[in-house]
This record gives sequence, C-alpha cells and structure tokens, in this order.
Amino acid sequence: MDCESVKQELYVYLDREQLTVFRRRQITRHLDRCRNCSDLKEFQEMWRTVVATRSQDPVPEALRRRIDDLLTSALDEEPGTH
Amino acid sequence: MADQAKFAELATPYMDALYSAAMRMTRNPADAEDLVQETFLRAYRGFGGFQDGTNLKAWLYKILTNTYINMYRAKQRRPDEVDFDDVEDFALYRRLGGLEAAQAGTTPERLVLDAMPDQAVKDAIEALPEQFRVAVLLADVEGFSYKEIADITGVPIGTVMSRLHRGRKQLEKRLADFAVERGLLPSVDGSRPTPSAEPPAD
Repeated sequence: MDCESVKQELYVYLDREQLTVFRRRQITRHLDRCRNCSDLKEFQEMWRTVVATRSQDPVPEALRRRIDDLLTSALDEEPGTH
Repeated sequence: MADQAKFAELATPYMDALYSAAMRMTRNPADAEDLVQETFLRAYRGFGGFQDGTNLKAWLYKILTNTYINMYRAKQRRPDEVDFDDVEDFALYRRLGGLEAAQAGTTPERLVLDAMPDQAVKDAIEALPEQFRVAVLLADVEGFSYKEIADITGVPIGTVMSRLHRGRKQLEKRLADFAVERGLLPSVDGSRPTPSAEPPAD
C-alpha cells in the first residue's frame, strides 16, 4: 500500500463505500503509520463538516405557510380521507 | 399503501433540507421557493404509490431533483459553469502547507476553515457544473449513499463516483482560490508535501 493509492481511494474510504474489508484495512493500517496521509485524511473530514454545515438556508415562513395551506386544502378536497 | 392524510406529518420535517438543496440547485430564492412548493405538491399527489417502509427522504429528493431538471435546468445554465478537468487534487489542503499556527491550541487548517464564511461555501457549490453540484449536494450535504444517489439521479454508481470525485476536487479548488483572494492564504503554493511525493510507507 503506497501513499498514491491511499490518495486515490481516500474519498471512497471516507464515504465508507465500495471497498473490500481487506482493502479498507490496508488503508487504515497505512493511515496509522503515515503522517502525511493521516493529516490529509483529517483535513478532508474537517472539510466535509464545513461543506455540510455552512450551506444551510432556513425555509422562509411564507413558503412554509403556503405549503401547509396547500396540503390542508388538498386534503379537504379528497373524499373519505378524514 | 401510504395514507395521504399522514403525508404532511411525515414530509414536513424535510422541508428545511429540501429548501437548502433547492437554493443550491436554482441559485435564487424565488425559484427555490417554487421548486420546493412544486416538489411537495407532486409528492403529495404521488404519495399513494409510496411504499411504507422505504426511504421517504430519498423519494422526496428524487422528486426535487427531477422537478429541478425538468423545470429549471435549461434556463439556468450559467456561463461560469465551466468544467475544468485538470484541477489538482486536494487544492485547499495543499495550499495550507506553508502556514504556521498563529495561536497555540489550534491548527492553520482549523483557522482557515473557521474563517470561511457560509456564503463562500454556498457560492462555491453553486458555481459547480450542474451534474457535479447535484452529486456533491446529495452526498456531502445530505449524506446519501452512492446507491441512493444513483437511484435519485438515474445514473449508474460508477457515474455517481466520478461526478463526486470531480465535483469535490473542483469545490476544494474554488474555496482555495477564494481563501487566497481574501488573504486567508498566501498567493504562493504552500508547498505542502503531498502524499504522492513520499516513498511508500510499507
């Protein structure tokens, strides 16, 4: 297992997908020993949290009310649902 | 068969997440509102055919994504949506290499990421070409698996993986450029040792 292979498969490794148990273990073992690769992996984990948490927008209240009203009136129009 | 009277109760908790995704897809609040409203209407009408016990969140995102593609895609292509194919891997990480921690108890990585405004992250996602943007949103913001993304977007898993790989690379590159523009990073490459420059460890 070399650094180049770890770099190639890092996204998939962090996604917890597609890799065989054997391959995953090889990468984990490499990360335990290689400072460069484990620094990169830690940065990628931090980075993902940033992408996930800093791209949120709250629903405007007017839209929330409009959808609630639409669903309520749609339900009222349907016979036998209440 | 799912009961339509239960739809509001089950689907409403996903409204915030759907709206955020709609904002990144359409890139403006008016279209995002229309898209979310249309998604809820279509989902409500189709809810009779939704199988109880299957993944409601994935089902709602599939409707959102299809509605976006059908209603907005054509008019929303932007001239700056270029797909640079030869973007380096891990651009932001590499740039961080030359920095010293300015204060004890933190790292240059942490400092730069903490200084990254929400709007910069949003802008960088919105600047990605559409197919990469949707893949990155579904995986990294919403946490869907490759299989779920393949199902939502109607492409094979291999295509999902390649879109994600390229989308993530480009996203990191855009944020690295932003950090340089804002003076968060020096304009010269930090010359961080990249993993490929090292000899094999075992």
